[in-house]
Amino acid sequence: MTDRTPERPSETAPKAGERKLPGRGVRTLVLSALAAVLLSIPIAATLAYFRVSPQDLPAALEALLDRRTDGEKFVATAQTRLTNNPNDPKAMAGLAAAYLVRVRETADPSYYQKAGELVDRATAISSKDAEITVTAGSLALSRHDFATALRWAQLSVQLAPDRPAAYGILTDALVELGRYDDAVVAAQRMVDLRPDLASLSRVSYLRELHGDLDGAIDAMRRAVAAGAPRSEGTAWSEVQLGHLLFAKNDLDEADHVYESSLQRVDNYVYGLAGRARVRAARGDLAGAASLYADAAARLPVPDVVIALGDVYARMGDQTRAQQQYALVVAMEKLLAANGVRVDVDLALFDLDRGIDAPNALAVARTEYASRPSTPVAMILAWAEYKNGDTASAYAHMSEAVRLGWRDPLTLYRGGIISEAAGDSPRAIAFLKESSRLNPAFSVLYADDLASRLARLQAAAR
Amino acid sequence: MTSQDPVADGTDFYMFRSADAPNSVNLIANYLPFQEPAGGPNFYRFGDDVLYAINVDDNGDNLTDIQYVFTFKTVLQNKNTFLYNTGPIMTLNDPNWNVRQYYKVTRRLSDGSYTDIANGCVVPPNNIGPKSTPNYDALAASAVCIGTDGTKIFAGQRDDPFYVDLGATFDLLTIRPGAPGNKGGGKDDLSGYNVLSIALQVPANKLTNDGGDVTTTKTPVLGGWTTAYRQKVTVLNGDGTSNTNGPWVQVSRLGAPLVNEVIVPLGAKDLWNSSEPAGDAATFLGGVTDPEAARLLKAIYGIDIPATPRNDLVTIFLTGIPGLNQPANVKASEQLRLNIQTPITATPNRLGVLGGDNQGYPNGRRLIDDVVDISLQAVAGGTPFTPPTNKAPNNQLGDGVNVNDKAFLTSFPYVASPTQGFDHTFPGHRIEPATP
Repeated sequence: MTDRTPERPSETAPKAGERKLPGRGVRTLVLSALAAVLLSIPIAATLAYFRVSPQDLPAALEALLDRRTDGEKFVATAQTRLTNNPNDPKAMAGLAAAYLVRVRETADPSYYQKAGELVDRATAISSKDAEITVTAGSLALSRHDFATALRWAQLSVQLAPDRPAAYGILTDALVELGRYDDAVVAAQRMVDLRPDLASLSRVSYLRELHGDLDGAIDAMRRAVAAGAPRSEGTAWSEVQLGHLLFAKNDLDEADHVYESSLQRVDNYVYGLAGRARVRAARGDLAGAASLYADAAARLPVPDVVIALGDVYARMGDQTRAQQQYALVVAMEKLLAANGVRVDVDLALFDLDRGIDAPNALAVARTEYASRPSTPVAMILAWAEYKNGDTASAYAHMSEAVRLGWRDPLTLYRGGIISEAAGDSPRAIAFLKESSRLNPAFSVLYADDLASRLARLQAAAR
Repeated sequence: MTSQDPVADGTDFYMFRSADAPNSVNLIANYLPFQEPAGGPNFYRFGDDVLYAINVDDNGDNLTDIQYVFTFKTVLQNKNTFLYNTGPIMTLNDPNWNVRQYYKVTRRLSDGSYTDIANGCVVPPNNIGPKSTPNYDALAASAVCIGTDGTKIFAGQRDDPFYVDLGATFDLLTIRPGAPGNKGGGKDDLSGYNVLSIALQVPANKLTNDGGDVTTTKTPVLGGWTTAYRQKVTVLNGDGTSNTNGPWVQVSRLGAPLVNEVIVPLGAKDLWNSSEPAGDAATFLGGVTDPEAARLLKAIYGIDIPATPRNDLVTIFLTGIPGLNQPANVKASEQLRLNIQTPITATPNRLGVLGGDNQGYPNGRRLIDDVVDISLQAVAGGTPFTPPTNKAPNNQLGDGVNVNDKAFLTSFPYVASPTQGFDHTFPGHRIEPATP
């Protein structure tokens, strides 16, 4: 039964990938270029162009003219509700949840402030309603305050033991806190209650972390099939599916799903970047650079700009590569100046380009203290390695792969750290597995992996 | 308005008899609303990983006696292209049509027996645009399938027959200025949007408990509702493998319209969607006898509402109306209940039973029935069941939208053809802009 009441954004599927790439910064729903073009020409000509029949005029016009993002619609609806019911804590939580969607769309941290004030007011009036506690938990997750998120999640589950959204927050908090056994139990409960995009994408991520790539792919396929066809959330999950397929070198299928995400959201930046990645893996560096450049021009998120720089570097065009890297450094400074916590993934960027390694280590340590998940443990291990602390690096790397995580880049770094720590057998095993999964996993490191593996194997003979 | 899982989330359910086939009962369930005609045809199809069902209780005992299950399978003619079609689609086996969906319909009985009454039926293409699907109405009509037991079957894109001013009605019932709101002037928020329908026209004697037809049956009241199912998965098996072939979980349930707004408490939507009628009396009775929606109407308009417990709403939503659509020995549960012996009205009244037209909602539901206005008035107590509140404005409430934007068909599947898209996803021919 479709809920015909206004949206409840607190139950929107969290983005599995966001947990992998936390706080990745700007995420804006890309506006339809088509609509933008249409709005610049007279409406009558537009309708004639599309041969819209007169009886469909109003609806067709509305569809064309309503360029608001999901988040803007959520906010408008929630504001009306709160205006009509100014003392209703659920209405406050509803608007807070809508602001959280806006954060994802705009990366404007001022929405956190607004959402936080509303949640504080709502919970002061009533902290015994799952509508409110689920939103409080979502806010805490967004702010990377995982201990607080866990408390709200546990309360939500108590209040609404049949509500999948409560288990969603619980799963996310447990995953980030590195409590995987408990996370699996929570996710199982969630997917038993309702197999849908929100629960199946979490199943996929847990399987991936446990090294079950095929199972992760299967679950993400089901998640995408269960999503609203034209929503950005579904497109996002489809891009994650592409990454999983890429990890095991199924480039055709990866390209196929990246392309599909572009049909869901016009010029979807993450879909464009995915296709660029496939081209790079196939050796079509010029094609990759062109697609990455297109994506970066639409939305210059650090991931995409870095990838573009890497492709230029691989092409031997150091000037353009350094231009891109300089842009990332500038973005980093801009974010920091605006009080946004520096993305832990940017620490990897800094480490790999020799930018202020001690600072990157400090960032990784801070992140790990609040969030001892296996991906963050791996970043910390890499930071320790780059700062010369091989013993700590080896320990944290071992922690990062303890569940069987089989990400080619992680395995590559694990191989380097193992070699440095004198554990050649493990280094060989990691590098072989990485190479087996996808020998073209990285434009920068694929060659190094191959020669390093050959050298280690020769020495072992 | 978007559901998180619209592909498996039922939006509306209809059950009625029609003049052109008076010895049959029409059962129609809709899924995947808000399809933009220009949204690209590739994404508007049934879920291959979803079971869609229409359920019938033929004796008022709360239990499913007959279930029609639709199972879909998408087939790409050419796996190397994303294109939905590579030229105009003139027939259902046109080679230009790349992305096709086939389905079968299984009729299951409560004793566990089942029969595939139809197999290999085709979902017609979406109404892509004048270039791609030029003769759409005829094309869609040719997709009607005839089951082995004489049942007519259709599954495919249609115009969404539900009409409502969503902003006015569901922004916490803030009816547009000028309450009671039944004077028109509302905005049909679903006009121009398409939906996916599954539709059956079943000979009445295949549905009645005693096997009688419309004139002879002694058990003329049928209960109906639609459900959808997705398959469970195991997050992790102990050995690092995963299992994705678990049992099916019910993820959607819909009988009477607007139940979510009227009787299901906020936050209990997921529970409702996984529930079966047999548990209603224990789980959801409180929502019927003391609905939050009634208190909202009172708070917003300052109108009198009937005292609790609202036994009038128990009658409307859970048992059916005595002498009209309440089966003998009924066990209370939420279903859409239709007395198939109620004569077919020549000129239907959109307010159904409240408008003196006994063939309309809540005695079953026709496409034309104005369920928003009926439900608002019922919740406000503006019905003959509660004489003290059967007065203005209680019995005049409405959202100002009184008809669907498109005329319904006069024969099966009755739901209007979908609004046509603009063909912008079909690159076969470039459409020149009109010269100013």
